[in-house]
Amino acid sequence: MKQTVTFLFLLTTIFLSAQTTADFENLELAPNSFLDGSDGNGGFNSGNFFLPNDYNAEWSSWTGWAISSTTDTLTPGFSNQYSSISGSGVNNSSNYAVSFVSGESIMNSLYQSHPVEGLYVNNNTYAYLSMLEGDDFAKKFGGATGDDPDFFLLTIKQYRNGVLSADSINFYLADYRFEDNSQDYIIKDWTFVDLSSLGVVDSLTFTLSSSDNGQFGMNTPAYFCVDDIQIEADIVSVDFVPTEQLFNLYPNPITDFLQFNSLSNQPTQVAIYSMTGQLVFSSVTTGNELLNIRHLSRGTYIVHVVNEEVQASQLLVKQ
Amino acid sequence: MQKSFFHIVFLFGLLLSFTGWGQVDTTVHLSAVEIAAAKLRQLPVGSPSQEWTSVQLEKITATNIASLLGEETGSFIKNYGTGTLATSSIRGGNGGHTLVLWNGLPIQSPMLGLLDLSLLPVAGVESVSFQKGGNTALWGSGAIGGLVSLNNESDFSNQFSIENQTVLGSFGYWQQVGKLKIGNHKFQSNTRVSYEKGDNDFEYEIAPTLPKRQQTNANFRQRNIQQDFYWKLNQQNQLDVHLWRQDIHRAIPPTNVQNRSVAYQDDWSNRVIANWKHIGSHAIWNIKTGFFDEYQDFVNDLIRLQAHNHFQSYFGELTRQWTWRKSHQLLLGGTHTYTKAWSKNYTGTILENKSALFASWKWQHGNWAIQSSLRQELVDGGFAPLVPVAGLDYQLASFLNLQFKISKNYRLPTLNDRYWTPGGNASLQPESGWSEEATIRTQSKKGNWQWTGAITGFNRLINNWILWTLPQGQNFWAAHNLTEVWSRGLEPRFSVSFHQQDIQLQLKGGYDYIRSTNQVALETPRIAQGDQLIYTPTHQAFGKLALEWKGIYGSYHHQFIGSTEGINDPIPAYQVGTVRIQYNTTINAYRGNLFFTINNVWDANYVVVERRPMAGRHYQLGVHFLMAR
Repeated sequence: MKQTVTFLFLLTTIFLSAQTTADFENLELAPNSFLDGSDGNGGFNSGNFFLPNDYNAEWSSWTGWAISSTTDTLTPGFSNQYSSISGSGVNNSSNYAVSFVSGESIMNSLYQSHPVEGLYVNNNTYAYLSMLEGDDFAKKFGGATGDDPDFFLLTIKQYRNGVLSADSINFYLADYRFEDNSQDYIIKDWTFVDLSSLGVVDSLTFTLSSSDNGQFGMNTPAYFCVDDIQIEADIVSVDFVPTEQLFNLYPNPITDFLQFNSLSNQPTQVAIYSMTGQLVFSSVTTGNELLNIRHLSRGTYIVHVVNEEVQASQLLVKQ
Repeated sequence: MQKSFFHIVFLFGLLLSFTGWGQVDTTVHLSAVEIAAAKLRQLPVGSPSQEWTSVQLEKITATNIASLLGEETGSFIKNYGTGTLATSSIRGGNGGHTLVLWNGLPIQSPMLGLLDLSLLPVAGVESVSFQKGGNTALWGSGAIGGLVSLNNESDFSNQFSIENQTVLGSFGYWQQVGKLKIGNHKFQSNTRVSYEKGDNDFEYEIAPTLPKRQQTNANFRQRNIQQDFYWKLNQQNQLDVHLWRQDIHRAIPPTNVQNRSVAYQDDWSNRVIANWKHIGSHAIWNIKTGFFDEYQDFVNDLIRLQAHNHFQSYFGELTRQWTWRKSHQLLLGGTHTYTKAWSKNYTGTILENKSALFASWKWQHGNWAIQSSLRQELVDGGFAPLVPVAGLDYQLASFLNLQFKISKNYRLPTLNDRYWTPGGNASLQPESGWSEEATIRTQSKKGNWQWTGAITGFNRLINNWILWTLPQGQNFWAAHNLTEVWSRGLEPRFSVSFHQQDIQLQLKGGYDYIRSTNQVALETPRIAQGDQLIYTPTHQAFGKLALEWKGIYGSYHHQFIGSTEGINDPIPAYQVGTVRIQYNTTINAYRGNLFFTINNVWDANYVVVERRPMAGRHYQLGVHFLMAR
């Protein structure tokens, strides 16, 4: 069956030089709800970032990123996996991003010539309450005595030209390693993490580690929340345009040739990035064109389409 | 001819009673023919076995089968805490590798593939038998590590008996058991009602410098109603019907690194078995049918989780056992099991059909006994592995007995392994492999002293071991045939007893050395090649000293469990002692005993499962009364 890559969310842009922020408010989300990737779009665009989502329709499960406006700060457990512990985004905004990290979660910059300045990070309610009180699988931090030197660490690195940097930013979502237990903490407010030292990035990669590990891996729920990702870019105005289908690409999954159809007559750049942000294909087209991507190895890619009026991103699977 | 046959069967029964080392006061209520019919499958040739009759069960501190196996056989019981889930680990297997039968039918959950042994009250059966090693050829999936048989048995000499047991204990423990048996030489009705509860609000130590923490949300309540009918139609035909209703509520306590828990689990089960037996001049026919209807609800309101599981199993079994030329017995049988299961995590109703044909031949002559069996099972149209078994008993001298058994065994994937969403894998293969074991047993009697010694060595390799794993880039666990497990070990046992007039003294003990290792390195779960399975102690030992004098019975049981690996951390070795003092008296038709038990007498601070504390020293006081006519 032919499957088509559709771009349902397009962004109109005005090019100026200033800071822009991915705050996810451009994504239509009812109060106290979430986008878990079940729409099959493969991720979420906000500001100058694409946050990939890998959704398994058979099992109704996801990894990578979800977008949430849920506000539950009290209910422990997996059923409350979409909430931030502050019950909102930064500055009481409605929407924020939640990551479930399986190995690593990647966030792609769509303006790769500009440095990422930083982002706000917070604990997810499920993870926070698990660390605070323990659950059936994970320990409460500090252990039975309160003295265990537990931690929950977010490590952020960058890919540039497909190469993972050695530099990293470490941020403790919880830290119980202090001699004085009164200094132990679990983050429960949005906290800015400065990423300017990472410089220009193709993509950011996020990993989680914990002191509570077993044979089956990390026991602490592998979730954290992100909001207001700031980048020095050319865009000062990013308007969300819920539009009809203006581009389509098919088939998906693909083997050798990708058919690109556009309703626009403007020259459009079609760029394909690896999941780590490396540019692996680029072409400027007008109208409809058959693109040869036979040389790409098997895997999942991000297709980024941009012209003077719009920009959009989507996942593409090469078989 | 029939008389001779009875002699052989009786002698065979005697031989088997010898193989059950270390047991005294064996009272078998069955007739000799019934013993043969049952034992050819339940206690096959080639490996040691143990059996407890109702009289022996009265002197055992255990109130459930988990405790019985732990205390009397030295088996490792993976216990999540007093009054909570308990499964066995026999010869390096897990709970799903020990098959539990109730009156000849498996009572494991087909969804989970295992059975919580703490839910099986000792008071609910007349006898229990236990045999280690592979028995798949005779009983089907799961009988890899061991076989536990719970049996309700008729006594046609009984006219009327009424029995009551009341036990009170620490932490709000209360057990009440009532039994009523009425009948004559043609018809018997046995009714049992039991109620058991406990708060389990014990205190446990976190650290020597910190105040103790009290266990919360750990209460349990169990109700059992059982009814057995035995109808001897004539000398050749007997019909038995067994009904068992169970209703259990258990709160799930928090771990010692968890602040609170409000979770609980409710289990309901209705089980019925009907068995018709026809004893001919050369053959015994058995037709058995059963229906099990079981519910399990897990509720955790804190995390808004409710899991409702339900299954129904229908059983049909036909066996015929022939005896000829005094030394040969042949058993042919066929079974069919139809199971329906429901769960929110299944896609629709799950149906499973299993059919099996099996045969067993036994030859016994002089000092030799040989038994060979074969089974072929068909599961939902696909063949399970063809499994043979061969066992040998040889009485080398009056004091020396040898046993040997080689068998192929398997365990089918559970319904959850195959159909759970997410992660179920319908293409899973059965775990299967060969096992071998050999036993040397010696025994001697001099004057009032008698002693036995035995050592069993075993070796077992199971392929396609099923594990749930987290594939790279996937956020849900899924079942796979991932690894190969090699189990081997030594099980020495000894028993010394002294009997003179009113005095009986018995000392018995045993030690298990078990290596059960993963042979394939895995990333998730993180297992290196050669790693010992988690919750499988390499070293374990037990000893029991019992003294009986003029109705006064005292025993001390000591168990050592070596260190094991848990999922997160190593679990230290621990030792637990149990003291029981009992006074027995009989006046005419009245028999009674008063008993006092001190559990964990040395107040050991220990866990069996990591983060799940066990109770310290605690007590039970009970009275048992029986009036029989």
